[in-house]
Amino acid sequence: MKITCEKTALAVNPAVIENKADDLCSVDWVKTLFDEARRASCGKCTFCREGTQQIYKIIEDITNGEGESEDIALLTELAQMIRGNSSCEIARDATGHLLTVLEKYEDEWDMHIKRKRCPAVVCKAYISVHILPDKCQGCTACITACPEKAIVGGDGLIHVIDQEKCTRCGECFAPCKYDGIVKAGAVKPKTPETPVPVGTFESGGNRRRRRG
Amino acid sequence: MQKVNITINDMKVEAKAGQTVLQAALDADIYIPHLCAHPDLTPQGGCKLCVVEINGVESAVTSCTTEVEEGMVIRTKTDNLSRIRGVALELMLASHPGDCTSCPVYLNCELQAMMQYLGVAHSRLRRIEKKNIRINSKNPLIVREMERCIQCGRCIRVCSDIREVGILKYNQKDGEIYVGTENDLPFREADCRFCGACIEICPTGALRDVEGTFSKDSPREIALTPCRDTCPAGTDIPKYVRLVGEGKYSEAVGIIREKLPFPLSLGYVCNHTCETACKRSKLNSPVGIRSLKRFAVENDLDGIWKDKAMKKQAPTGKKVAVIGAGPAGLTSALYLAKKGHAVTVYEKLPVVGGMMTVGIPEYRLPREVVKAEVAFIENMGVEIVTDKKIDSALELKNSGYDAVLIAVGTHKGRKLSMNLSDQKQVYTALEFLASTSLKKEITLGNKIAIIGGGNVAFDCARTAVRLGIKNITVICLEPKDAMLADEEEVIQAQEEGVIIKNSKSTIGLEGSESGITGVKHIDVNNFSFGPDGQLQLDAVEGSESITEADTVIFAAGQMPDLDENFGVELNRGNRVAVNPETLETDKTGIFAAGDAIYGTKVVIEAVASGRKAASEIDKYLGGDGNISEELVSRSVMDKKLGKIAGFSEQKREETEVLEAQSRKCSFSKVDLGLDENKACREAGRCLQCDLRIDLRKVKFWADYKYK
Repeated sequence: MKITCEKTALAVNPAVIENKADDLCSVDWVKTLFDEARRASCGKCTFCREGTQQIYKIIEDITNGEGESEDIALLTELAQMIRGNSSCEIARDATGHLLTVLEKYEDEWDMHIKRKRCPAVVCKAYISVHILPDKCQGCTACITACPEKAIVGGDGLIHVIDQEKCTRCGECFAPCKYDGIVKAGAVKPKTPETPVPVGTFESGGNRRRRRG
Repeated sequence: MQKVNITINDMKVEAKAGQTVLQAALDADIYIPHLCAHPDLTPQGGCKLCVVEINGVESAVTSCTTEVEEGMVIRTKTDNLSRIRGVALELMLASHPGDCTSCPVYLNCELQAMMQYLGVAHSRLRRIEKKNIRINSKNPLIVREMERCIQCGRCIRVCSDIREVGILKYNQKDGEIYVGTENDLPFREADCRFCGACIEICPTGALRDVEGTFSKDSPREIALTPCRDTCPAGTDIPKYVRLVGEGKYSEAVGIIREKLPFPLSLGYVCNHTCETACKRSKLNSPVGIRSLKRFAVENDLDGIWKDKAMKKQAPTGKKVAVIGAGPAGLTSALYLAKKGHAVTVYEKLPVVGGMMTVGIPEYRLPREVVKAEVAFIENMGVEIVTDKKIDSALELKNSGYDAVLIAVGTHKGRKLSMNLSDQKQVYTALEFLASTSLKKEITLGNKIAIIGGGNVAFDCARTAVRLGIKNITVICLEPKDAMLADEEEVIQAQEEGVIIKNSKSTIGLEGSESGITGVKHIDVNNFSFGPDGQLQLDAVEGSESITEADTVIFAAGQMPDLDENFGVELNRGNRVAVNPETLETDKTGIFAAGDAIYGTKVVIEAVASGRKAASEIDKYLGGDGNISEELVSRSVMDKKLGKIAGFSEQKREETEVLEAQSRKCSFSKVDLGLDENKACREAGRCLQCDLRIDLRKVKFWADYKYK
């Protein structure tokens, strides 16, 4: 009697992660993979059902700034255990990719857990979104698009994102015709605190002049 | 069966070909941890706790899904296996509540035992709260606290593979997997058969019976079938209901006959505590057990139970006298005769059957039904002497009997003590009912007031209807919604024109020496009984009123017609004092049973009491006291139920009842019973609570020799 799970592996292109682009975060990539895996699980086997759920939860924590120093060891242990004992290819493949990524991009995972940074500027907890004052034309397209009403400004004024309200959802990127909206990690661009007329904001200069 | 030799942990084990490694180990008393495996279910290999190592196989395998092979060398305990089991259990515990002590199955939980065995405390993993798990988890019979569910899938497999109902599955929502129904329908709408197999098989406290469904006093295998548990005679109700459904009416009667010799009489008049207890009543209405019993007897053409039921043990040479040919006395007489004793029953009335013949009116219980059932008892060699009143049990015993049973019932009616209550045309219910039953003359007027609110009061009222009296009032202390009589009796009486006055306490009779003119009563807000049984009334001041009547019947209770000359100690209300364990009176060898010891109750109680007395008297006479019988061999039950659309909403099949206008003018039977189609449908409504008893119990690790 051989019990196997009827599920087959997820369609994953390992090349994407073998030579990953600078703006691809390996943590986020694996998180997405495990989100798919847990949704594809048939539920019969503990290692697949609870294992993919558990791993997803741990990685989600890591991307949310709630990773703990023991998490890498825990993920490695779980992944090895599940890879060796799960009934189905879904969990075996997903954990295989996880193990590869953990080894190959150890530094990136460390940055997430210990320094709370996402070098690829992907994980939302570690990034902020800004409107570049020299690009913004005050067209209000982003203001309309923002579901959180986190962008202030008006016709002809440089728009400013309220960082308290912004959820980094990214809805504002596409409507901007001037490539004026960017994600930032640790280094943030200089922007006005409140909307000012287009063309009046100069990084650095503005403020000094006012003081004088 | 071909043998296969294997080695488990250096022990030689002889396994059966085709067995799994897990089965072979457990059979050899070697424990391998397991949760999702169950002896009655197809293995799933999901929990991963049963992993073992096999020589020549690279990785650990689940023993529940691996068949034994000749020469297999198996290890069940290695560091690697402990690690796998540990992580698997931790993963399960990540979504399981942390506090065991507050769980209803604390110390009776397979998961908890597993934590103990594997030494795994609560998990070092992330806590997983599954949010979708409680969707539609409420239903009237099954508690589903799904946050305790570990998704082992045993309930899913028992529901689909064994019961073939298949309403449970692994559901998936928002990336969470939980056990639920198709589209998360509530159990009723999902066409659950409510057999309880999922509860029985759940290893945790996730699935449980609604608190109070089962009695905690009875052994579990009886308690699980509340109908059988509450039947005073312990009739195996689920079995005979199933047999009726299968069209095996004679077999059904055999099952009933194992516990009582009056199946048809009871099919007419039993007060059916079984139906009150029936789990189906929580879904809509209980299974019509009584009418199924009657249907079975009326359609028993083969009498296949008779040969076994007629078996008697060799004569013991002992003589037993039974006083009273009612249900208690005759039941006892029958079983004593079967045990080989010579039994004579003395009956003071000219007819047999006791209250079944002179108390219960003919339109509820046709006389030929009782006669036929008594005839069976006489055929078994019981001698019945009618018209013979016994004045002293002690003298009777001394006249040459080894034992005597007092089963005289409660044939002395009680009148409330009030002025004029000894006047003519003031009767007790029994004087009235017995004289009607025995076709004796009794003087009645045109306006009858009946004082009382139980079934006896309504028996009087409806008998009076049939005697042609137009003006009949029942004056009842209880309010309308708390009447003691059966609902159907009250409804049918009203249909026949009987007037019911509720919440009224009778305070006196009106009239003079020359005749009664009415009953005086007062409205009552509330009443209760004091510690000494004294009635305490909260009457409405100034609410006295009078019901006109020229005839008054007191249906206010009965007691045994005995006095101190009878030779045994009597309690309050003339009841015979007995040792409750042995039913023996204060005189050695004299026993008592039925209404005579506990006051007026019902036929089935009398039968149960009669059985107990027979057993005790047999023991007293040197027998083993065992009167249990198996008249029909128990065939293997079909474990399959299948899915039936709309099962929980199936309506109870009611018996056909004569129209009020046509039943009013005669004593012919009112209830015409079920027809075959209705009976089959009604039997099909049964939840078959007894099926789950057949699911095997899982042994805990502590019960194994090698753990």
